[in-house]
Amino acid sequence: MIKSRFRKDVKKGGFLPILIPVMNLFLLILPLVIQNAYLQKLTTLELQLPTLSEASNTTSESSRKLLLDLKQTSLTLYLDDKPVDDITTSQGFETKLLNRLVEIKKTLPSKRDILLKVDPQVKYEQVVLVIDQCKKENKLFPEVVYFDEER
Amino acid sequence: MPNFYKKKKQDVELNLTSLMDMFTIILFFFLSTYSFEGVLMKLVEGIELPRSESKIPVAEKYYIAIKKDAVVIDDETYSLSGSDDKYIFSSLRQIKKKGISFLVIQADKDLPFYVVKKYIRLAVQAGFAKPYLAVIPK
Repeated sequence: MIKSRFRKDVKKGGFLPILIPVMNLFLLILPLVIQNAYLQKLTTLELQLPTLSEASNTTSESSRKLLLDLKQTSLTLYLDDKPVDDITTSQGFETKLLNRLVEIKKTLPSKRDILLKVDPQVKYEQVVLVIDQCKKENKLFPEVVYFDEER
Repeated sequence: MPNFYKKKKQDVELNLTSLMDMFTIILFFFLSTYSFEGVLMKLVEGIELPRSESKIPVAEKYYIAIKKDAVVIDDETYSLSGSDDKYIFSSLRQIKKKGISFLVIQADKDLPFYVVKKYIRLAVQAGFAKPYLAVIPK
């Protein structure tokens, strides 16, 4: 009688073992979820503005003017104010642009800057895409200088 | 009538081993992905940033966010129509007075470039040497 009364006071927790297989399941799912997780990190893209010091370039290569004129439907590359290539900005144009920039870089290996002129109606996303191609992990023309005619 | 067939309930304990395993995995994951570079910057809601190959970390936490319908600086929202430009300019000047050298521009990827250009100009007029465009790495 005393024993059974004593037993009544003990808290029962019969539902708890159910949690163990649930946790095992989570253990299996978790690495999969983590592997496919999309973590949003922000980085920045540097855009230079023309400065007075740029006029005093020393080498002949760096003093040559390379300009990329980006319009809504096309882009034109100018070297010393002479058009060297005209590319339509359709899907996949970035490969064509990159190939052309690589060719120019081969002829002007020490040149680091490129002027970028942008038509006002061009989408911002396209501008970023073109800047990316010009820089190409800082291997081509790392100094993309925004050329604003209205300044 | 007393129930003689009543099942005797057992005392059970919660096994925490698998929980600890799970937390260990999470811990290693966060330790391996933690970036010690750059600062944390708030991404303003409603802005879809363009993607880029750039790996330059965010150097300053101060930003000007250009949404499709508004401009946000330091949690203050301004009109995109141009009527608030003088207030935007004075906000940018105040940031510059704090000794901040770089300003990050968060702009929606679908905006026409002339809108972004307008605020790049304002930032330059406020004293920021060059703009840093906030992007999502590819």
